[in-house]
Amino acid sequence: MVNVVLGFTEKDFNKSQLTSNYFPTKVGGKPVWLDLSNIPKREELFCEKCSKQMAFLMQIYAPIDENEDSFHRMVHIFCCKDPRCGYYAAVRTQLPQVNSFYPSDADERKYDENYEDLYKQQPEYTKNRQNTCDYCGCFAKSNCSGCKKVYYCSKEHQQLDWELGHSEQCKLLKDLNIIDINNLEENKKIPRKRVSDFLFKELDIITESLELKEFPPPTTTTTTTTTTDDKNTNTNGNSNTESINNLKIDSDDEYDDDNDEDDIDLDENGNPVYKNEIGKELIPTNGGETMTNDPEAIGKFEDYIGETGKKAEFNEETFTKIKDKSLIYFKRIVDNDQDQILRYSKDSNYPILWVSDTDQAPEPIPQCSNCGSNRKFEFQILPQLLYFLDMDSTLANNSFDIDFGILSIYTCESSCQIKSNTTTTTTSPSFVKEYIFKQDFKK
Amino acid sequence: MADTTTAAQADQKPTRAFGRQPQRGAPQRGGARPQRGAQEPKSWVPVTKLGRLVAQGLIKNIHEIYLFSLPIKEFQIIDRFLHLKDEVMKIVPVQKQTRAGQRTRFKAFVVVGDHNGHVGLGVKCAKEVATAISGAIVAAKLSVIPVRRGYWGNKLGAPHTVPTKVTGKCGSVAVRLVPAPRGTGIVAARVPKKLLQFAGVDDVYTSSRGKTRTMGNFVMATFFAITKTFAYLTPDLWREVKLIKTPYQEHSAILSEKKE
Repeated sequence: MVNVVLGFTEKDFNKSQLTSNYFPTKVGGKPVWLDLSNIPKREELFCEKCSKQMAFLMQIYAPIDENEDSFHRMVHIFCCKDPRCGYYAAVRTQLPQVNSFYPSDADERKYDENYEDLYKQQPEYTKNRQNTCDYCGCFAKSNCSGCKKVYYCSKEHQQLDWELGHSEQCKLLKDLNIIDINNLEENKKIPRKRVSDFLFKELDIITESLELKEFPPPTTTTTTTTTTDDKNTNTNGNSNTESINNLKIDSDDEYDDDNDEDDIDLDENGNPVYKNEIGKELIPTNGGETMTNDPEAIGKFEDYIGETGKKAEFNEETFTKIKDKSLIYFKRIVDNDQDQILRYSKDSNYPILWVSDTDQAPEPIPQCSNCGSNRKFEFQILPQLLYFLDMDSTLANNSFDIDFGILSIYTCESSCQIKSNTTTTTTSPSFVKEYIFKQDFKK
Repeated sequence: MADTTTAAQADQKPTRAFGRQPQRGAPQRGGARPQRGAQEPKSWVPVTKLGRLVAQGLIKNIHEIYLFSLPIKEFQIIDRFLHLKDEVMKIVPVQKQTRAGQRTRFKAFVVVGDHNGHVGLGVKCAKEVATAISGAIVAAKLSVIPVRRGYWGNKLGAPHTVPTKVTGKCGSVAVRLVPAPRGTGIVAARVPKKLLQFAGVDDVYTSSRGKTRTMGNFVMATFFAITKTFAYLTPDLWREVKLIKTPYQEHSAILSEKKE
């Protein structure tokens, strides 16, 4: 019984609930960090290929109960805006239950109505928090010299934010005494800023658990044709295929698409009709080079070649033989819930959804860079997400052109804690990089 | 001591993992999702880039896709552009020998077309007839191909026949389509006649060879022949045409134009 949790996007959400205190699972907008004393700096989130800052795609809150270090645990996904790079990064941060930013029972208290007051009354949770850049959400070193209330990570972002609308806001913000940046939109006196095109559209994610009933057919079809002693042959040897056969409930032949080589036609009475394969010698196989000198024969032959177009690159097999089984399984599964964007399963029997038989994840998945233990599949992102990100755009507004078939994220099995660098002078990294694999549709 | 407290906690709350939330007092956000049983007709969420462009309405005509031979992986794309009629040509039972006797399935041949220049052919095998037919319709829509029509003689009126002699072959069956004068009608056997009607070809002579009783090969061969009408380079296509951008390039955010 394999359980998988599906994620769906939700447009109508309470914007204030997508902040650090609520441990959100969301798409787009600015990244919301867990460990607020060690917020990643801008330089840590550069694309490896083009060295530009990556855009924040989504994050999920995925705690692990067994490990006390990962009582709170977030995985963030970043992607490079340039489609030529096609670079994605998965980043994991975690906190123990007792920490200096959230009360120990924050997970239940967050549904209470006066949850926000808790942080106002107990300032020890907020005093150690670092500032985040107003434009991109990373660690902010400096603030706006005009109002001193808005922080930025770099000069470029300060300039961009100024053009976006901070120029009108700056003077007004200086005069306000109590600033809550999150409630800025509700404050009617302050003009709103335009939405930057660096961030994706912000969406909430709601989850639903599902029991997987359909499994992909095994890739190697073991067709044995022995008719006697069928019960006895499977006790030895083929125990692996037996366990796979037990898993596949309906999918054995139902969707074993057009595996027609073994099929025999039946006529009206149910008698088998065998097809004859005559005429293979009709087509010369030497690429059309003729041997005779008879001009009439050559003329007729060339007519034939012209009509059949044997030299044209028309591939008959596209219609009959080549079936991408992974894509067929993908379409079938997605058809049940067309708007799902996320599939999460820690079950080792979970059949990872792929969009093509070729270019699936490399078999030896790289081990954790932090602790060296193996990485295990955690969740995957489906391409429907891109559809939901684009919904209101004419493409002129949309500066993103990313495209993927499926993104699979593999995380450290032991969910290790970040090792602090005692040898170097720079501070320790804020996160652990996990392995993300992108598979594209076959062209 | 620690064990008993964690055990007590386990009784009160479910394990904390992605997607598992403790009991809420607030109204469930998840309640907004429709129940799994009550399925209203699902609106299509595209998966491929081409699907997204079509869903947004940025591609006006299916021939923009055909021009660049882009693979179409979602049949809803075809549904957006064309109104296709479908017809089941044949359902044939097929068998396969397995350890536990014979496994019988049904193979359905479905032809779709708009009687005006687009045909598709789908074949699907499944355990139930209804599944096979619906699967074959999807396969047929994915294989829709444009048909080029031409003239037999004077170029008066609308094109009515195949532009040149074309032939297609599948298995041992070879089908040859020959242009015919206006008013001839489709001179063909029952099987290719259906396909040619759906294609919108009005007049054509045919000639076939091989074991045409194998319907699968016969209908495939005539489908390949129809496909070749647009693959054939005739003198009126000799003139060079300016290259235009693929739909992907045309509708992408042209990053080179943006100033960094």
